[in-house]
Amino acid sequence: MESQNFIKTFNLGLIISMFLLFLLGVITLYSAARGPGLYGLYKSQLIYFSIGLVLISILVFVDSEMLQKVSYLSYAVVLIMLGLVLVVGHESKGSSRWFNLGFFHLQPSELAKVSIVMTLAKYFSDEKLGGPYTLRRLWIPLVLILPYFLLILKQPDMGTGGIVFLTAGVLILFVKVDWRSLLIVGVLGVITVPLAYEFVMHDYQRERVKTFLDPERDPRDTGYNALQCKIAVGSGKFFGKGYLKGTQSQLNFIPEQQTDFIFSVFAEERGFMGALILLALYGSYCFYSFRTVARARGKYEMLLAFGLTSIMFWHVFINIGMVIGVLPIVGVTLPFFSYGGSSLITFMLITGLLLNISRKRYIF
Amino acid sequence: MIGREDEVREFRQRVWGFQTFLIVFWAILVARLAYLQIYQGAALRKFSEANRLKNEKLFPTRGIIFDRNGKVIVDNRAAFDVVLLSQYYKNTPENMLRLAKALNYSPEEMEKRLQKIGKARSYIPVLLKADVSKDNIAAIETSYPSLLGVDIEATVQRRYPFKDVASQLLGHISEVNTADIQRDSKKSLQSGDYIGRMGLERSYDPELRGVNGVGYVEVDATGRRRKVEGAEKLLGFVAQTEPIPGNNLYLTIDVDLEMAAASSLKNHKYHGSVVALDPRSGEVLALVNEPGFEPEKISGREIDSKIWSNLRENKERPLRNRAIQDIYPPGSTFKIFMAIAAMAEGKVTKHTSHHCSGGMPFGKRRFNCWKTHGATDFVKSIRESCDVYYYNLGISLGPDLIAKYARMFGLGQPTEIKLAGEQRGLIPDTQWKQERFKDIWHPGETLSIAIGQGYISTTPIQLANAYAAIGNGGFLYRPYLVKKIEKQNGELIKEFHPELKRKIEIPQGIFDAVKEGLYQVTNKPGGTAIVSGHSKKVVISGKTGTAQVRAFSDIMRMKCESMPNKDRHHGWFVGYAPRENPEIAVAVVAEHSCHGTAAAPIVRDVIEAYFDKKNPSEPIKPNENPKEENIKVKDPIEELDGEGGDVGETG
Repeated sequence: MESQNFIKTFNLGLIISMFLLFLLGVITLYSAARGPGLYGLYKSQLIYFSIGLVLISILVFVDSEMLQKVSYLSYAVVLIMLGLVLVVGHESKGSSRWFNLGFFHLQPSELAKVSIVMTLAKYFSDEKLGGPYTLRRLWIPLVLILPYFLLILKQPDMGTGGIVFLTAGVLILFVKVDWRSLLIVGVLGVITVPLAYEFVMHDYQRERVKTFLDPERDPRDTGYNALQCKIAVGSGKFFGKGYLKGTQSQLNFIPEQQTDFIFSVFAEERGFMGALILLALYGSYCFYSFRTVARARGKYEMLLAFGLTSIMFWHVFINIGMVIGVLPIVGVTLPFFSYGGSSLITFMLITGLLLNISRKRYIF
Repeated sequence: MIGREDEVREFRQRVWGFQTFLIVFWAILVARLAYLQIYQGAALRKFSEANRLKNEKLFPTRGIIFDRNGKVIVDNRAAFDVVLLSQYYKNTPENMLRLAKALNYSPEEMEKRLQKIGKARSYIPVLLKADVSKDNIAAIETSYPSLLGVDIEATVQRRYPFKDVASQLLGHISEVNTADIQRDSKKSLQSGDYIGRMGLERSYDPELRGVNGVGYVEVDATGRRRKVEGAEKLLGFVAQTEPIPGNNLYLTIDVDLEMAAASSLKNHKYHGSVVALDPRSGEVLALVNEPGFEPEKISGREIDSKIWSNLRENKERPLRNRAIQDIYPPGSTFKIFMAIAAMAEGKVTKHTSHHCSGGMPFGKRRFNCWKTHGATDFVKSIRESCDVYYYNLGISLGPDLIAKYARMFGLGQPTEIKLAGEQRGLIPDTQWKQERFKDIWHPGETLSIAIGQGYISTTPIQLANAYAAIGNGGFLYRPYLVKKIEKQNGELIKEFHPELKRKIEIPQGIFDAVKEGLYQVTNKPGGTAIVSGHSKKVVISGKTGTAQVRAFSDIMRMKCESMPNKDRHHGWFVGYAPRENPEIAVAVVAEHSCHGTAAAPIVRDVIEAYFDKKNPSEPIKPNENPKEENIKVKDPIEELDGEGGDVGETG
C-alpha cells in the first residue's frame, strides 16, 4: 500500500526533467570549461550533484508540517548569514557573497531565495482573512522581504536581489492584491526606478543598463560580453557548430562562460534546435512544478510550491534573456547548467521540496 | 481540506493564469533565439569567424646574398619577439617581476618599458623585447595564464655572418617609417615591413624584399595564437596567400679577398678604403672601408639607440662607404693621366726629358719637388714621381686639356656603380672655375692640378677603375657588384654582363709607355714603391700618391708625421697585376698615413691574396727584376716633405 502510493504520487516528470537538464548541463560544462584553470570543473559539478541527490532523498520524506514550523527559523538563520557574509565573507570579483568553508563556498543569498518563499508561504497560509490584500495589510511581508533584499544588494549581487524581489512579488500577486494597491505600487515603481538608477545603483550597474540598451556602444569593455554572447548564440545558427566546436567559447571569447554565460556555449554548439529542446525541458520542469502547485494539499504547500516554481522560472528567463540580449546583464545562474555548488544544490533543494509537496497531494 | 478548500481551489485556477504567463515569456525567448540564430545566423557566423581568425601578414624571407663563389654573406635566421597586448595584461607588481625575470630585464628597466607601452593603444601588440632566447620563451610560456596579453611572435632576423666585413657595401635593413611608406610610389610597403637602408640592401631592396603574404591565424579572445587541429577543415575556407620570398643576389665580390683586404687595412692600423676590380670586366672583387660596423646589430626590430647614435656620431664615420662616398685629391696617382694627356697631345715623347733641380720657379714663386731628380725622362718621371716634370707638362697642356683626358678615364664623374650616394669628385677646368668662383683660371693652379692637388678630387673607386682602364689598354667599364639575381628556387632572373662605358681612343703605344712607368714604380730601383709595393709572387704595377688634407705655406712646412693625425696626408696606392692583361686593379687610400708607401703594402696584400687563391699550388715565378740587392734598398719615401705641400694655391 505505502510503496504503491509512493510510486503513484512520485512526481516522475519533475525528476526526469531535472536529470535531463543536469545531464545536458554537465556535458555543456565540459565543453565550456576546457580553458586554462578550468579543466575538470565538470567533476566537481558531478560531486555537487551527488550531494544534491542525497539532499533530495532526505527532503522527500520530511513532513511538510515540519517545514512549516521551521519557516520563520530559516528566515532568521539566513538573515544572520546574510549579515555575517558582508563582514567575514570571502571576497571575489569585488563582492563578498561566500562563506569559505574550506571544502565549499557557501552562498547564503542562494538559500535566501528558498527561505523567503518558505517565510511568505508560512505568513500567508497563517493569514486567516485571505486576499485580495491591500497595501496596508501587506506591510508585514514587505518588512520581511526588505532586509533580505537590501543585504543582498549590499554584497552587491543585483541578480539574486532581483530574483528575491521578483519571486516575492509574484507570490504576493498570487495571493491576490487589491487592484488599487497594485496601481499605487505601479505608479511608485515608475517614479522610483529612475531615482534608483540615479542614486542607488553602482556605476558598473548603470553601465550594464546602458550597454543593454546599446551593446555596440563600447564593444571592448562593458558591451563586450553582450556582443560576444550575441555572436556566439547567433553563430550557432539552426543546428549549431557541433559539440566542442564552438569557436567563441573554445577560444575564450566569453568570460564566465562556465557559470552565468553557459547558455551561450550551449546555443553556439547546439544551435536553435538545441535551444528549443532546452527551453522545452525547462518548460516541462515548470509544467510539472505548476502541477505540483495545483495539486498541493494545503495552502502552505501550494504557496511554497508556487514560490519555488517562480524562482526556477525567473532564473531561466533572466539568465537566457540576458545572454541573448533581451535583458541587461545581471549575475543570475542557469539552473542545473551553471557551474557552482551553491547554485546547483539550491536548485536540487527546490526540486526536493517540490517532490515532497507533490507526494502529499490533495486527493479529490 | 481543513476548511480552506475553496481558497485552495481559487488558487488552483489562478495557476493556469500564471502558466499562460510562462508561455508568453518563453515565447519571447524563442522569438529572440530565432531572430539571432536563424534570421541573423549567417551574419553572426561570419562575425564569429572574423573573431577567431586574425588576418595576419606573412613576412617573406628576404633574399640571400652570396659572394662570387656561392658563399653566403647575408642570410636570415628565425627569431622570436615578445610583444604585449596591454588590454589583456594585468599590470600587478608580481606580473612585472615575473616578466622582468622572464626577459632578463632589471625590474627598473621593465617598469620603464611597461610605462612607455602603457601610452600606446591597448589593442596593438607592442614590442617588449626583440630576438629573445629560448629560455625567455620558455619562461613566458610557463607563466601563462598569469602573463596574459604577453605573446611570442615568430619573426626573421637578418644575419650577417661575416660581422663587420663589407658592412657599408652590404648595408643593413630596418623597419619602414611613415616617410618610407609615403615615398613608396608602388604602394608595396606596409608598416612593419623592412627595407634596406644602405649599400646593396638598399640598392637591390626591390629584388631582395619579396612580397608579403596574408594568412589567417586562429586567435583566442586575448589575441594569443592557437593551433587547433583541423582548424582549416572546420571552416573549409581558410584562404591564404603565400608570401613570395625575395630574390637572391650573387655578387662579384670575393668574400675571401674582401676579408684579406679588410685585415690588411686593419693590420696596418689605417682607416681608409680598398677597392679591387677586375679590369677585364669591371666586376668589383672587393670593396672595403675601415672602420666598419656590424649590420646585424642595427637590422633588428629593436635597435639599441646607443649603438645607433655611436655609429652616427662617430668621428671615424664607420657608416661611410668611403670607396664611393668620400673624395680625396688623387695626389701623384693623377700624374699618370697627365702623362697620357701630354703624350696624346704630342707635348712629350717617351724620350722627352726635363731637368729637376728640386723645384721650379713659376710666376712669383717657386714650386718644389719632393726630391732633386736631375735629368728626368718620361718613364723616370712616373717611376720616381717627379713633380717638376709634371709642372712642365701642366704648363704645356693647360687645365682644359688635362680635364679632357682625366674625364676620359672617368674621373670627376660617377662610375655609376649601383650604390646610393656615389660622389662624382671634381676635375676642374676654366669653365668650372668661372662658374664656381666667377674668376679666371690662374696658371699656378694648373701646377697644383698637374700633381693631383688643388681643386681636383676623386673617389677610390674612380681611381681603381681608371687604372683598370690603363691596365687593360683603354677599356673603361662600369663597375658592378651583382653577377646575377636568382629566385629562391634557383631560377635565373637576371644576369649582369660587363658594361663598357667607353673605349678610350688613345694609341696603344701611349698605354705601353705609361705602363712601363707603372711597372718600374714597384720593380725598378728608384721606384717610389720598390719595397712597399713590390711583390715576389706577382708583378705589380702601380703608382703612389699623397692627398693633402691641408695646404701649408713654405713657412709653416713641417714633417707630416709631426702634425696632428687629423691634418696628416692620406696615402694612395693604385695599381694592377699582372703587368700584361691584368686581372685585378686595386686602389687603396690609407687615411692620414702621410705617404703613398703606406698604402702600397695593402695593395700588395690584396693582389697576393687574389693570386694565392687563384693558384693555390702553383708556385708563382719570382720576378727576375729587380735583383735581390736592389730590393733591399729602402723605399725612397716619396713626398717626404709633403709633395706639393708647397704649392701655394691649393684650396
